[in-house]
Amino acid sequence: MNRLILLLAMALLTSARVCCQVVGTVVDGESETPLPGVALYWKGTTEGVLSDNNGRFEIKRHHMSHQLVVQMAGYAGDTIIVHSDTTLALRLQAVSKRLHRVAIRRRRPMTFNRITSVEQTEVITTEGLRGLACCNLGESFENSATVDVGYSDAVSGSKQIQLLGLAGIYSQMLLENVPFISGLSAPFGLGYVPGQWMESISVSKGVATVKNGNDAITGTINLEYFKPDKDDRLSINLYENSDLKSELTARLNHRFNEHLATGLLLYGTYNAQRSDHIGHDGFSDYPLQQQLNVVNRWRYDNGKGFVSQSLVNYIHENRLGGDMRFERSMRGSDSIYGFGGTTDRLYLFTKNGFMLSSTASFGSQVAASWFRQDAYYGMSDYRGEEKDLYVNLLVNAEVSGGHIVDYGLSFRYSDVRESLSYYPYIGFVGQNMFGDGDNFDYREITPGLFGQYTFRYGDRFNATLGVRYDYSVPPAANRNHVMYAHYAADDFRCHALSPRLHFRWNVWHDWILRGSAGRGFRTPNLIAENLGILASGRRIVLTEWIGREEAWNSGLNLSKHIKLGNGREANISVDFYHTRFVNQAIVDLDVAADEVDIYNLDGKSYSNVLQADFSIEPFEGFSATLAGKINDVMCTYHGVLMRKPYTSFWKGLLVMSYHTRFDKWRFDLTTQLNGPQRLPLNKGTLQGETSPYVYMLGQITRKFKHFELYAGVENITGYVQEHPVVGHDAPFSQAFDASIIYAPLMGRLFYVGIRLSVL
Amino acid sequence: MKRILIVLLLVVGSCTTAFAQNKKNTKTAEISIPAYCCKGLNATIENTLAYERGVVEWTLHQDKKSVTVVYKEGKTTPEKIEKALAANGVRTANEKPNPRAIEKLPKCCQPAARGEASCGKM
Repeated sequence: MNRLILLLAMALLTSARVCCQVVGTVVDGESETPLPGVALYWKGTTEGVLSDNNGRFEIKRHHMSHQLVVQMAGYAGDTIIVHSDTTLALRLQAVSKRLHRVAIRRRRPMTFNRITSVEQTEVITTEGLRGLACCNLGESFENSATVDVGYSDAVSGSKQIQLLGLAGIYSQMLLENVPFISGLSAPFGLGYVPGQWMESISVSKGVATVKNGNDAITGTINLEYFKPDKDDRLSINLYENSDLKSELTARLNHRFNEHLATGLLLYGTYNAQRSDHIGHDGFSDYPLQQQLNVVNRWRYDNGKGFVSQSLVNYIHENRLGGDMRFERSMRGSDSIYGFGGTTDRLYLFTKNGFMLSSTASFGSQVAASWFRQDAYYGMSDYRGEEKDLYVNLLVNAEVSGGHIVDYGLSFRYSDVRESLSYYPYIGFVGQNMFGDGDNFDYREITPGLFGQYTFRYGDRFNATLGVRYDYSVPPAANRNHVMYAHYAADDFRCHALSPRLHFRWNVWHDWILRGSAGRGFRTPNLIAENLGILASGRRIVLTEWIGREEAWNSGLNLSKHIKLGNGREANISVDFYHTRFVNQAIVDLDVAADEVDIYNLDGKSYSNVLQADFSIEPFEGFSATLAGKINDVMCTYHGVLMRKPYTSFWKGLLVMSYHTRFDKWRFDLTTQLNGPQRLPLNKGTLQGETSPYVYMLGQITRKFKHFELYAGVENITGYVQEHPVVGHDAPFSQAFDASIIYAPLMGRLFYVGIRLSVL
Repeated sequence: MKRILIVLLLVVGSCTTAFAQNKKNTKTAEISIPAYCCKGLNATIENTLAYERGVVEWTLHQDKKSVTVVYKEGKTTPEKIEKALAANGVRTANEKPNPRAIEKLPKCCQPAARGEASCGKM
């Protein structure tokens, strides 16, 4: 009872405090986003206020005037008669055509935002990318505890990511919400995205919504390139490091008129020198590499709600590694070990969207890619070619009460041709394994349909429930490998039903709880995804047809955005994700030191990942992020439940950044603490668990009026793997293994660069 | 180590004296920003002036819609400063802003910078 009185008294007090006041919010009538800076004043007086960043305002009532004028440039003004203290919810409609266009353009990302805000998403922005020497996507996750990056072997220099303790192949790589890197291009894919092209990277953990296919099990990485209508006319970045690797990135943009814009993105890299600082084993630390990468993109916006975006990307890459004495002409040599690879990739997408009505929009996404790779590891030859077509049609509609419905159709066609002549060592006899020119060609046609419903209860709660169904047309005729002969066409038939649930709940005082759960599927590409094994003397044993992989993922995340007063902010986030495989292509390196068995999962395979992040801006210009992660990833290998190899048991991260006023100087320092990993059975002297190590990188940036200079150090502590190539003195014997990689392969590395842009 | 410290001190010392000397021949100009609409524009104005050669200090007057700039004579002129502001999207009394730069301004400042509409009574 006392409490009730107290509450009543408080209510009275608060109402007394706001006496003679009008409060409220102003939002855009179209997108419902809050409008800051809206002028509100009493007609005929000089008493007025501006709405704040959240579109909120408070204005004292005036004894002379009861007419509240609402004004905002580009919006239709309004006058409201107010006779009492009240709360107003004002919606302003855009008037000028130009702003109307903006309103619609903002609508599309808003829809994505609403959905992605349901997912736990970490965004790496341009600012974040600037503090890193990110040559490419593989080097852009240093400041994130969510994504782990490692090398796949000691000769190819290709990097692979892990999300939730599982290989990157279980996540989906999107370019502006369109599938980008998948299938055969996955192993080297991180090298195909220059860091300076990216405006932002968003990493969403857990299963994705149903809109982009069913293969995002552990998460989605969405890349946004710079947009031709927004970006500067010309931007150039030049980079040079102490290993004589040079890079040039350029972005050119042109706007023909207010509707049409085009952009040209160029990237070239070249390293002229091989070095052997690590292990002194006669093997070069990093392959010679040349890459040319070009994007041309177009954007058309008719100003009436029709937006069309198209992009073409061509990549040509050459790599040459292995023995320091090895030259390109020595391909196939059985005395000097060499690695070489040539890759060509053509990718294009076109996205078109228009408004069906004021609350519904239609979007189409069409992406096509052609990929060809020709690589060799010692005496083994690998060729891969992939043609891929992806069509996705989707409708987004707002139904009554702000709830949203999305539905659509998708179609995917993949034509994969892989062949491998595998000779891991001299005297190798192929028996029921990859032999002379074994090919694994297949064609897969996957039509699918999906729908999802987003329920919203104000800002407090929203949930998205979606389901998609995909059907793979039996590709039996194409699975022409002799091994598949005794399988019936039905064995290849795939019905895949993927339910997905996401929710976001503002539990209490901006403590936000997010959750997700769902099932995902993917078709494994056995050779392409395990290319690193080719850099070893292991026999590959494949005794059964490997089915499509299937897994369930669920997770919870609790986060809070804390305002510390005087404009300072802090963020706290804790999450736990669980992934459980129903079927998985198991790559068993523990069966014997000179063998790798590939088979379907028989037993348990799961991953539990607990991560905590805390970031704070304690004073002007300084920010720090502290994060920790525990990976518990287990898998059944030949009947024994074991830790998955090459997965850190834990990881710690400290990111510090300081900039002086107006960003004139900027200092970035990242420290990673990488926990122990389990090594698989191998021929080397190092077995079992590796020891933890520290990896640090730092950069100083100085900004001038028209350009900025940066200089930095990668791997400051210089920790490297001592002997990355096991059996380097006998590379054509069973004792050779260059695939046991757990630590950096590059020592301390200095770099300098310059960035300039013309608005 | 000591030697490095002494050298550093000398460098810092000479810099500060250089700054002190230059302060003598400074001039003050008031630059009018008629399209000033909201506080969002302050960051753009300040960022421009911070990187402008010869600008020593400045004071923003939101009520008067102007900025008072103290600059070194011979290194820059009020005209040059106005041009620099316009290049970053800020409309001044004599200079029209760069249309591409306008789009990087906060939403509330864009229409006025384009010269489309005034900000009303506020």
